[in-house]
Amino acid sequence: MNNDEQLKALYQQRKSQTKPPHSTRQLLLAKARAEQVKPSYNLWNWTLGVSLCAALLVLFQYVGLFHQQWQPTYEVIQVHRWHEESQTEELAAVLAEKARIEHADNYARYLQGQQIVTAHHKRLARLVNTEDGWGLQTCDQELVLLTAQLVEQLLNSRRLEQQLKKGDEVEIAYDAAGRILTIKPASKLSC
Amino acid sequence: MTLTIAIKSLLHIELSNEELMSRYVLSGEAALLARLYDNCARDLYHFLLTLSEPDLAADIAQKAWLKVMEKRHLYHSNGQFKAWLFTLARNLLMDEYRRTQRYPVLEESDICDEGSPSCSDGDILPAFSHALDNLPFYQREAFVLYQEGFGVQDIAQITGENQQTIKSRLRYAKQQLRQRLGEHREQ
Repeated sequence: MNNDEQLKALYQQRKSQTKPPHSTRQLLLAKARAEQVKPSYNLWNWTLGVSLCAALLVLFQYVGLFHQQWQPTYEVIQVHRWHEESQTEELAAVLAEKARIEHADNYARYLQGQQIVTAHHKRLARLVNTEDGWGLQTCDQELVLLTAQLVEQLLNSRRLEQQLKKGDEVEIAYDAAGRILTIKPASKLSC
Repeated sequence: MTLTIAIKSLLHIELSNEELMSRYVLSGEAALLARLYDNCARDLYHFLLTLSEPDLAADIAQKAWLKVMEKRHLYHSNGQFKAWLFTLARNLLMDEYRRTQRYPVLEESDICDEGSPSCSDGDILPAFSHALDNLPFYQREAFVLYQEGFGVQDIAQITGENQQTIKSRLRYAKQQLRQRLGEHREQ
């Protein structure tokens, strides 16, 4: 037997002569058994915990539902901004041309309207006879032909003086659309 | 791990301390703690008895086991249960020494009482016991832990020292014990 083995054997021999106090074992086991009863408490706590969680869940759902009910409904409005839209140069040119034409049309219509309004105020004429019926010769040497149907309509609606005859000077009133409203004798023709 | 323990338990195969502790951590079953106590109580008590007086050793041993119960959730299943237990006990003992300002004897006492059985008769065990008790505290501690089956690394972890220090302590402890036993034989 070498020295290490001898020391080991002596150590084991020494240890075998010692005995841990029995009271420690008893105390320890009593305490462990007392703690072992706790599973019922744990079960109770566990049940309590689950109940609390469930209650919280229900509460959250209720609050969520309530919140959802009170939320106003919005309509979605899509906002487009011209400068934000990506467009090609060709498209821009087309749109510019379209706008220009539209503007020109509007301006032409405006000028035409102006002419009509101006004519409405200014137009004086001399009543003449033509092959097709009556005619009105204006100061700027324009001849407005009145069809028999129109003369009849004007007479029926008393917009044309019945005593008018060839060579009479008349004043023609137009509406804004350029239609003849009335033809009545004028005091003098001042072309 | 848990499945292995359960199967072993069903087949009545002896469980290791680590397996018993792992089961105890999960279940808190008193019977498991009793088995752990039966497996390790003597080793622990002897370790403490070698480093202190009987009353203090019993007190510290009891506190250590109570701590095993209280702190069982801190036990790592991959660790050695006995090392954890001894670490708890050693810390408690050192705390007690600090609290009472009774520091362990660091130097060996080479006194052999007149009429002491270890000095007078030819029985080697009392001589060994006497020699062990008279080793410097830290050498004694290292030697006992080594005899309890811990490696140098384990002892270093339990005592919070580096491995070289532990090796030195072990070497000196063995050397002195051999010397004392040699002297005893010569007498």
